[in-house]
Amino acid sequence: MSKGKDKRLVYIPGDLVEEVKEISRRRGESLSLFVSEVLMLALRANSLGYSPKQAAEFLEIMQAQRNLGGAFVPTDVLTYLNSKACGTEEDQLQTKWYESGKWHGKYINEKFNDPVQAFKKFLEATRWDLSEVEVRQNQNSVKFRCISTLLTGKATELLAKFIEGAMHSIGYQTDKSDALKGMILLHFKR
Amino acid sequence: MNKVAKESDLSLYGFVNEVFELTLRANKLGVNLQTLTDSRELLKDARENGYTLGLESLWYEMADLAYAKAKNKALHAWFDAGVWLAKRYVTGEREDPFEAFKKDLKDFTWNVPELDVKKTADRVSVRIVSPRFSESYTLLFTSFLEGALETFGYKIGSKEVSRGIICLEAVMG
Repeated sequence: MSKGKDKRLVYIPGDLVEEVKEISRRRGESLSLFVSEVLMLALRANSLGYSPKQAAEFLEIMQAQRNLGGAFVPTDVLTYLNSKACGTEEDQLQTKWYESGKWHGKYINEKFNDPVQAFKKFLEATRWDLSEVEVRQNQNSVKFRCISTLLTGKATELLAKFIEGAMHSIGYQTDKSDALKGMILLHFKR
Repeated sequence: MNKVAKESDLSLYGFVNEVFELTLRANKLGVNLQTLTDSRELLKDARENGYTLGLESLWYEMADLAYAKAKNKALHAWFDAGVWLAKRYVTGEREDPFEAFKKDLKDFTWNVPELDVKKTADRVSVRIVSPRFSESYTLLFTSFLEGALETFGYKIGSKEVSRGIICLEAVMG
């Protein structure tokens, strides 16, 4: 919508309009003002590289992350906590990451219609140390491939445990697991 | 809008419909579309400023383990992380590095219900209340803040720390 007087008519299904009308009413805005704002934000989202569908998915993932108790930690601190230097037993750390993944997977499984794709999107949105997240999903199997040029060997193994935990909660069992520095290859079967 | 719709292989009608559906989904989540750009901006800033996003319970548990195993090493690692992060602001080209640090600290501690940083001419006070912090995480986070404040040129004057509560007073010099 431009600031000019030029106006266009776009046909929208009546039920959709009614719901949007209700939201604008609750916010105390006129329908036309509300729609203009929404469309402007949609254009802004588009300039960030999100189609309306992708924007909705991103919002859902971010909201889920907040509900799950997402928190930022300085990356240096995480590197230290993952390293041998902090003195934590390796299997203890792996258990913590696995359990955390299980908890995460359980939530995603309850919340999303396609939990595997939701989990993939979660990894893409929040794990910016991953340069690639590929998920190949068949009827009864899922293959994960994650690539990172930033992860240490230990951090890669722990992230792999996290993914395994999540996938186990979603209803899959590990068929094959391979975690090299910066590369995670996991195969799951239902 | 027509152009954007065409780029997405949609008719104007289809695009507007998708936008309306997006609005309804956002409303269901209790957010609005502004949240999208805000969240995206936050993630970008976090990435650029050296933060990682994950589950807070995992961070607390890992911190507990590290603290129990090697308390001093862990405190030192968090202190150094504070120094490193603050140095980014101090040596960067921001107009007011401390204000920028304060803003980011607030943004990146969205899980902390109360975080108050006050700066006067030569003093800074920090007050954090977060009931979910474990005892070791509280101490480690304090060490992180101390590292950051010292890098900005402050000396810690008084410190009151107990599980989930951090109160720091620092003086320039």
